[in-house]
Amino acid sequence: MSSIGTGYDLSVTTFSPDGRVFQIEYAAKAVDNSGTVVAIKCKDGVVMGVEKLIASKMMLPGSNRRIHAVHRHSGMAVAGLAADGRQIVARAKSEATNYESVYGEPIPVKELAARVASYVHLCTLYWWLRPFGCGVILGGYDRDGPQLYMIEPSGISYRYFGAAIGKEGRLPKPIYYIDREIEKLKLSEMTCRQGVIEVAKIIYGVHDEAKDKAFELEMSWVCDESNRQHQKVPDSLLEEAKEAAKAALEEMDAD
Amino acid sequence: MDSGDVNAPHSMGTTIIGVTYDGGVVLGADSRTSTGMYVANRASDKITQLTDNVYVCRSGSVLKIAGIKIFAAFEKWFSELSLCSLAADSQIVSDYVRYFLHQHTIQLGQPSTVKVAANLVRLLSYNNKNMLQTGLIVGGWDKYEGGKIYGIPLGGTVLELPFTIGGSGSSYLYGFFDQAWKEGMTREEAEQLVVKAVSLAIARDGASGGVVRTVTINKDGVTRKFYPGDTLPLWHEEMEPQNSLLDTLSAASPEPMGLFQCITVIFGNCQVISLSFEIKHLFCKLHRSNGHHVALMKAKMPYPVLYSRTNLYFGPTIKKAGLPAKESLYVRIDLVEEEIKTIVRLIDTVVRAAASLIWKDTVSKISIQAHLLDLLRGKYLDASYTVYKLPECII
Repeated sequence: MSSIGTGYDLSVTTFSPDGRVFQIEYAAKAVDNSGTVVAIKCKDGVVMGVEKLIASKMMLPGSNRRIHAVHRHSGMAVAGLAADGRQIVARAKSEATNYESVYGEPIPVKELAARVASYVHLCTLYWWLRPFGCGVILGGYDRDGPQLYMIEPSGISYRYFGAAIGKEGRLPKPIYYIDREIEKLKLSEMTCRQGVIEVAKIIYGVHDEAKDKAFELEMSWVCDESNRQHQKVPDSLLEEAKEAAKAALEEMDAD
Repeated sequence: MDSGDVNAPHSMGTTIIGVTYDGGVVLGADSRTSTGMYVANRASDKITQLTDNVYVCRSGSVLKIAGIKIFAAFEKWFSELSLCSLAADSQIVSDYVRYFLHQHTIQLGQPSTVKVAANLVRLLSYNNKNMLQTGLIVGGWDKYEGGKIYGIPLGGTVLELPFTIGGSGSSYLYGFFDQAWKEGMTREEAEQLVVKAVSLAIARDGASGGVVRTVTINKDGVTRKFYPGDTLPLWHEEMEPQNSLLDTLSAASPEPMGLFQCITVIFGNCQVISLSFEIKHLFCKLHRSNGHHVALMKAKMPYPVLYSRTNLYFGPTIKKAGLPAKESLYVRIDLVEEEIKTIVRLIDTVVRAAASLIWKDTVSKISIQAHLLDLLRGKYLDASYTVYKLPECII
């Protein structure tokens, strides 16, 4: 899939003869270097999970969070260059609070996604700015129900019922897992409690033991059970999910 | 009221009401825009559209002209002018909000909610509170919350309420609403309540009047209704509306009418009663047709009345009385015993003509009638003839 665009890939303001902007594509590759992020939209909310690769044994568990709260009702999981991700999250927080102070209501998730996408795209327009080297999954719950959006480094933003980015986020792997669940349990009928377990299973499933050593599972949700607030998944449920995922993995290995 | 007291703040003539019912909201307002005593517009529309589903009732106040010491006449003129220009505050605010809401609708791809509209109005009101004085009621319907009313009074507070009232006429309605409001009314009940309330305020508040306009907003859209002034119920001691004598007189007389003139009637061979309105005084003269004065009454008007003094013809029965040029416009009617009732009716008509000619004047007409009646009663009319019921309040 990758091709070298010699000569046409030096600047984000240059198109190649076949109509591609290589710098943006290279930026997308930076996303692939980080741990996988998987998110699904269930009947009553959105669940997000991150495969956080542990760089060093000296790191404190629970630090280097990859999922950030943007507003009371929404959160963002980042894949790619961490510093770039912080910038996007900061911008999203600022957009959300600004909207609320002007219009008096929490920002609709659709509007927030549009603004973040517009900001990410902005950085692909000027030669003196480089594109963001990270993709973002935005999950939120507003008066139109739970919604899930993914914003890529190119500034593209779509609404999903299931999305994945990062190392193992490239198709078809995570979709295979998600599809399997759709056959068994429709996502639209699944509650977030069940969704947490499924996401954990997916992440454990796609994690490549050979290539990467250890990882920490970080999960968050925003659903009816969490009172429509974006929160870390409660520890008890997280443990339950991890156990279920490990069991499923063994089952698979046994096959 | 002291005519020199221009530093006292007073609210613009308005009565505005917003009421929720089961399924939507009803907004109501009177239609009088007054500049001091003068009614600048008797059929104004105070309910303005912000979006397809959100409307706002507008009212404004007059800024105190504190600390400006100019001579009295200019002060008075300036404050009246300011009244006019500060009514524009509410228009400016609603124009800005309409613009912002339009953009917001485009960005979101769906209609704005009432809450967002109210918040935008509130931000403008609050952040510019030193320069603006507006009392606004935002009402509308959206698919998330249904019908909602938000009151945004002078300082920029925003309050979500089941009903709210505003303007100078609202002072008279607080007790009424305490008693008459109930939760979960039907659309008809709510509309009737609003019309009744506005008409009550019009009866008591000199700065409210004209017609009643209502706007009903629900999921099916917006309906505007109009209730002309003469279809409104009359309350305690309110007089029946009269047609303006201007219509009948202008048909008869070829000459253009000036406003607020000298009306003169000669009775038979003895009395001339004339009313004339000059800048400061109401003259009521009684004198014999041979020119001798019998009595002269002069009353000081509470406010300067900027009207020119011209003369008025009176019907086709004009006969030149052979009087000197400046008095050639008097009508001569011979007094016959059984025509006393006609005379009484005539006086009634004359005075009502005087009254109706000053329909634009919020100063009470009653004082003129009182003067005339006192002149007539006892001396020239049997006390048993009651010309008309006198309301008790006189300015």
